[in-house]
Amino acid sequence: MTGGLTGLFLAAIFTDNIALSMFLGLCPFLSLSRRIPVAAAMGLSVTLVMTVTAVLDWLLMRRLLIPYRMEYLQFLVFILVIAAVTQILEALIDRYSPRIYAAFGVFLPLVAVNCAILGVSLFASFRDYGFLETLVYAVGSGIGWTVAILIMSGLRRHLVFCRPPEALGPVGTVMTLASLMALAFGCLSGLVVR
Amino acid sequence: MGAFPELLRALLLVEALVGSLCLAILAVRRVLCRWPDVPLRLDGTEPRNVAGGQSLLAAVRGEGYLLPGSCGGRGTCGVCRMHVRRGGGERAPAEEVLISPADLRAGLRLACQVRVRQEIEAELPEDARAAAFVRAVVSSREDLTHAVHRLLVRIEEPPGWKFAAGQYVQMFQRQPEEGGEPLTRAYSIASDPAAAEIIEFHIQHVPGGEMTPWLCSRSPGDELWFSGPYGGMTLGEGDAGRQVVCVAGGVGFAPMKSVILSLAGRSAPPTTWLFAGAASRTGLYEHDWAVAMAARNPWLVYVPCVQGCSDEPADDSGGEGREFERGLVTEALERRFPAGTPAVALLCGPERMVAAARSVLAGKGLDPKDIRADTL
Repeated sequence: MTGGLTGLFLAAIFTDNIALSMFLGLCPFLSLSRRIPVAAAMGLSVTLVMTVTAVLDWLLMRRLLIPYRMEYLQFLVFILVIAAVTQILEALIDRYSPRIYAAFGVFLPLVAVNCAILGVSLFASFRDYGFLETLVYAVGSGIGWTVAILIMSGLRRHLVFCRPPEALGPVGTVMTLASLMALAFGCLSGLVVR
Repeated sequence: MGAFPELLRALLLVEALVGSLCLAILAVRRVLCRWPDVPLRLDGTEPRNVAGGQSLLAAVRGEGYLLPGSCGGRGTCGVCRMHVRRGGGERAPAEEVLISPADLRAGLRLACQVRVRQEIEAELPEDARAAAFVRAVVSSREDLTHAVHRLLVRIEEPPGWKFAAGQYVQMFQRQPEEGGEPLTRAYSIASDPAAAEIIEFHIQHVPGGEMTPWLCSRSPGDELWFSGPYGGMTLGEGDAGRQVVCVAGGVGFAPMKSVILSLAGRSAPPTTWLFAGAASRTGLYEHDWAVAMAARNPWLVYVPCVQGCSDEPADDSGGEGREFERGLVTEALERRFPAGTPAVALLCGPERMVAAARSVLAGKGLDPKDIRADTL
């Protein structure tokens, strides 16, 4: 059983998984989990953007919004930062690593509308995390989301071998699969002490 | 604190944030993401340095070659094809859709989708090398039907501009200046290549279109700019001794008119089939010309086809006792064109017509490389 920063990190990955316990970032989680390489690229993009934006948002919150008592602008400011960071990262990766850029393809700009990114920044602010905690929480959440989408795409590869109830349809099947995964992740709750 | 100063402060903060984020994005793009110059080698000539980061299409145009393209580099028209030997990078999804797998393997790319990032070795298409930038003046405009217009234009510059029957030009909506991607569309030339000073276009008016309403409102004396000629839907030396099959749908008739006029100028024209299709009788806008042409030239077989809309009077006379074929032009082709005839086919019309005609002709024993097509 672990606490402190390690606990926060493990909780972000397993017990408080942003996709499976908070149900955030579900659109790409469901739609891009058909193929493992695509899921991995998306997970990497999410982790990258999540970390950078959470840190920037923490700085803006602590240095600008709280001192001037304008916390109500939080959502707007966070969304603007996410959009800009996505643009900048896309331009930088395109310039310096065309191979990674090609692997990301359309997913990097898609990250801008992933609500898990905004969610992590907001949770960090609601829970009054310090700088280091925010950083650890953001990296952990990104890894957690990546783990979840990778497991999901691995499971979906095996769906061809089973016959889920037809009435569920493809979306229903994946939702059921996601809820079973959430239950399984919930069983890890003894791992972390809060 | 009052509500108004509070509102002002909030607005100021958001504006300042948006402004600084925009500046940050611009700064990153301008400073950190600047590409070094990259050598570009066209057709194995000496490499020339071009600005990196731009599309191959922009780089080739910057070198002064008139590569065709009518979608403004958006990767939808599929016209700016080039063989890229080296340095083309990953294929874009648009290329996988618009270029056949065999051509992709042979290195054919869409120049607008290839980014110049490293040393590139590419080959210009033959027509792009020969194409010139042309200034012309409208000499007359005539309505052929309610939707199709005939535009006659006089070539002003360059003097002695030539084209082959069946080729097309890229019309510009305005005089192309430095920078910016001008709006262009492709139009086939409908007149005899032997008289290249005044050339003819058939323009189908597309209501709400970006180009045709403007083009159809040109009046005599107005200037036009285009580049060309482009396109390989032509007859070459190697085609002598074989019959010619022209299949046209709608304004796809235009290049066929040019081909037939050029054949009529030969001493011994080959037997030529002209299958012209339209939705209704009025859509066969040059029917009378074709009937007269076929009456004068025994080598020409004209087969007009209408899909037989119910609102059309059943005019089966077609002049000179010639009947209209009913149904699709490809069905008429199937019925009338004898299988096993050594022939060269020229197809111009909507994509589905061209695809259907290809399979009909292949079924009649034509070699796929003898079937040349332009889609509208």
